[in-house]
Amino acid sequence: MVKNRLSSLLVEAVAVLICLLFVIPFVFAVINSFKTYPEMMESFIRLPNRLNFENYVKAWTVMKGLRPFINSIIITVFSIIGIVLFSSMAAYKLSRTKDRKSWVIYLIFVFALVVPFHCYMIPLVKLTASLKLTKSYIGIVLIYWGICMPYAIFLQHGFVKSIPYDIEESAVIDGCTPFKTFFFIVFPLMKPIVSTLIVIDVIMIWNDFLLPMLIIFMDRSLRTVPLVQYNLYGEYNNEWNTALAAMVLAVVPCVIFFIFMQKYIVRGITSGSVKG
Amino acid sequence: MKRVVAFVLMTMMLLVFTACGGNAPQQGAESNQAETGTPEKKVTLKLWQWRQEIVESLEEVLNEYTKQNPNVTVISERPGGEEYELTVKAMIASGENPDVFAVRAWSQTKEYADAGQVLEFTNEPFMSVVSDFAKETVNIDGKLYGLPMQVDGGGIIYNKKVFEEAGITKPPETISELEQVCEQLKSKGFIPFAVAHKDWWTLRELFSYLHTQTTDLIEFSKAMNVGNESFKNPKIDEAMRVVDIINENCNEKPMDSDYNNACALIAQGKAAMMVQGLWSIPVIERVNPDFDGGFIPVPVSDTAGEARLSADITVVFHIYPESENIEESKKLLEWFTQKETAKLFAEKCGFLPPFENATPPKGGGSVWNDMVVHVEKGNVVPFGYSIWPTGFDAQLGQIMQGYCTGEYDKDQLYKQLDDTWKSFIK
Amino acid sequence: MHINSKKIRDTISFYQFVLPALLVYAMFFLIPLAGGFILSLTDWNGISKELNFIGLKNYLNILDDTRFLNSLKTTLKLTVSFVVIVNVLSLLVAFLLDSELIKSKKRKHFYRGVIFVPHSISLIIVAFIWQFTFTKVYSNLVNELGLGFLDISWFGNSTGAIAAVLIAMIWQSLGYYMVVYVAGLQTIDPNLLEAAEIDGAKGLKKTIYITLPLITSSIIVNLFISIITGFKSFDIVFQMTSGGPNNATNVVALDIYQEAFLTQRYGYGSAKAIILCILVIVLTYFQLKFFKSREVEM
Repeated sequence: MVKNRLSSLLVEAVAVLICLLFVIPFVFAVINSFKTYPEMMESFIRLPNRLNFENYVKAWTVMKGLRPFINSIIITVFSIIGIVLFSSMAAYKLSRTKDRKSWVIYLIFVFALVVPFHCYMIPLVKLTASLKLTKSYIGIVLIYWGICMPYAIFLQHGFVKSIPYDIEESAVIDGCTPFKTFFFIVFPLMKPIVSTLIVIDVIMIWNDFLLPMLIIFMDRSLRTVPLVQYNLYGEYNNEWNTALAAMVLAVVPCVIFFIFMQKYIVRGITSGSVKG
Repeated sequence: MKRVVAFVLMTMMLLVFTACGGNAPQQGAESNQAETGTPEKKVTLKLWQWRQEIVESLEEVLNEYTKQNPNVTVISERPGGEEYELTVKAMIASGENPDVFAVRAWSQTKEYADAGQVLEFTNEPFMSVVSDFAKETVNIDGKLYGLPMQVDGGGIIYNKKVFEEAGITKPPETISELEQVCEQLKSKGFIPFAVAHKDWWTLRELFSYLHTQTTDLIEFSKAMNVGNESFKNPKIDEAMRVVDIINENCNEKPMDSDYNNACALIAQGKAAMMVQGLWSIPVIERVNPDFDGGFIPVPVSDTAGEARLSADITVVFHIYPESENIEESKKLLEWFTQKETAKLFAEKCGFLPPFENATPPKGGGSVWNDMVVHVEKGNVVPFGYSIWPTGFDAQLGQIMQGYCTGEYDKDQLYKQLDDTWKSFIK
Repeated sequence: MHINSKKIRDTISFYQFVLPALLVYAMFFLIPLAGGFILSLTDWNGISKELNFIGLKNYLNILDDTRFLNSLKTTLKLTVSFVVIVNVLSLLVAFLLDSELIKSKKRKHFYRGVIFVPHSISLIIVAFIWQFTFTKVYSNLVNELGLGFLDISWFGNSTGAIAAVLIAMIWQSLGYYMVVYVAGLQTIDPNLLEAAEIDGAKGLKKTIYITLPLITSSIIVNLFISIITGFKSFDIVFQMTSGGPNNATNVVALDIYQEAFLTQRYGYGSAKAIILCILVIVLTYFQLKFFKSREVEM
């Protein structure tokens, strides 16, 4: 009994220690974002004399209002809808269909994961421009649908295998169409993996810099958060305190979103659906 | 199934509506001012450049143009940030036209000129104020492409106050004097040189300032391209002593120190000297607005008066041939060459345009005037990377890092450089 | 007759489900990629208006390209270290945080959350934060703590630079791999584990012979993703070290970027990129095959 208690404490202590280690760089970044430049140059690790918000004000002014946030939200939301919708359908069918064409198509999707973006970047931009889809929400959302599909399918393909087939069977026998079976029976069971996928893709799309730069940058009213902030940090700028403040602002929405989604993610397959 | 179709259709419709909303042109605050007699067509010019330090100040300068020409709005951008060159190429490839855009002189301008992506300016009237030496940098096969906009200098920037406090009355002109100055500074508790070895391009600057003083760059390049030359020669060997002196007299952990750090050190008066270009003055001034600096060439020998400053055109403004606003763009560039505008550029952006009527910026103490003195005497050499094969400079920076960490000795350094040059001209 | 129409219905249904994804993917990925491949057969420099086909010359030149070959070596070094360290660490952390010894579920979620947060930060920012930490904060910290001898130069030698990049990469992605492992651990039927314990398997033995095989699919996924991530790594290196010092961290993706965009040899850069893809495909093919054979299906 006591041994168990001790082990529990030990394990939690280690957990807390690891968490602290993880948080340290972030802590220092935040500390320095509240300093004035001279304060920061004196010491990078001491706490600031007072909470100086001028860096945040500057970072915020650079963004010129809420528009970048709204743009980021619109693009992210619509991209996610399409990605989740199409990839879950495709992953489901590819996983359940065990014939040659299914396997080949799956491989065609998955092979994209090894390809670095620079490989197809310029032809992609050229194609999008020739379709007159640059400088619009539609263009970049469609592109995200296309290029995020491989990872989404990869992630869900394996998961579907762990959903027992008997439930579907009974639904089919009951006369459900394939679509009904999928959307009302299988899809709800995919919540954990879909939640994980959503978090991963939201983060990726929200933080993406290069693709939006090439596709929507030229229309100022469409710029996303990374596109309005990048001038603040870079090789030639030594105002780290301002840069760090801008970064904190950029990071906060994602972190909040993740915390909110946490409870959906690692819920394993709970009772009800596993045992028939 | 119907539900799904409906849902997808709805999503698409929503996208279309928001896309339409998103495409509404942004109405700037400018250009809607006084109603003049003749309504002129509203023009928006797109200007691209890569310098982070001038993003805000350039906007101020361009607003002046709009004040004088209310129907024209100039929007300046810094596409891609650190990845400027990539972004410009990708945008042009996808049919996104800038009106005016900046690239470097010499080989970069040549690259774009050969591809027909920039307009020829040989007969443009505004080119007449450009100095001859600047015209050379945009001269491709006898034709002029682009408006050179910025003369930058490379040498040793020194903090006058630190020199004073250390009792140094005369800035060093020879390598031996440099050594003595370092000793004196060290004894008074100052860091002689602020270095930024973590950023490879600072080492490129250093090597370039030495290299171009010890050889005729154009002849050297020609000979290297046919395999008749080598980086190894007695003059550069002598000049490399400076690199050794710097490495022995610099701030601690040089390989971890980056450009920002070096600028901060010299701005704060902790370090006395920095081998760098004058583009660093705004960065220094952000830390210390009262920085009082002097500018001298990097010595390469023990003979006084032999050292020459590096000065070259670093920013050239081009007009994209397929821009829809060529006439307006030319007008803008013409405005750039006017005396008042050149003053504005100097004041706000720290630019020294290579025009006859230009006045040097006032920042950073006497650095700009120091440079102008050398330029007017004709006592300057170009930047090596203007003529080196494209991409060579990045590798040179890496190789120099290897020298500074002790991985290579001088002979290995030269060999590495020679081999690398060969690999770039294949 | 009945069977035939079912087959047809099944095929139609198959394509109804798969086609939307396939179409967007083909349009915005496969076609541009084909474009990239075509460009690799030219000597295009990135801005000229003409294309000049030179066949497989670019690919042959790669064989002589010492910088590229060196960058492959560097990437391999980095990837192997990354894959091993991140998977071992994230597995350990997953075990730790899934352990029954932590009673409060809420706290478990909190710890997991904290470890995952770095993953929501863009790579550019991660690189910047760590560069800031290594060059400024670290120095201040060890000196104030009196541990002056630990004040090393991170970017002054190849080992330090690679370590710095690795640390940043691992910090950023550990949470992700941990989440996958935790999900895998949670799908294990507790009855199986109980049965194993009754049969005498305890502690470490239980972990190695029972638990690990049961989460093989998680291991496969994580190995796959971490190998790919390692080989494609670009942003952190670009931001933090630019490939230095002296090409110590010059990974393949960086070499390709410099070739394609800085050296005016876009066609050649494309060819290198295609070679990289092929290498990674081959590598992951073997990795998947190896582990697939050990998979335990439910």
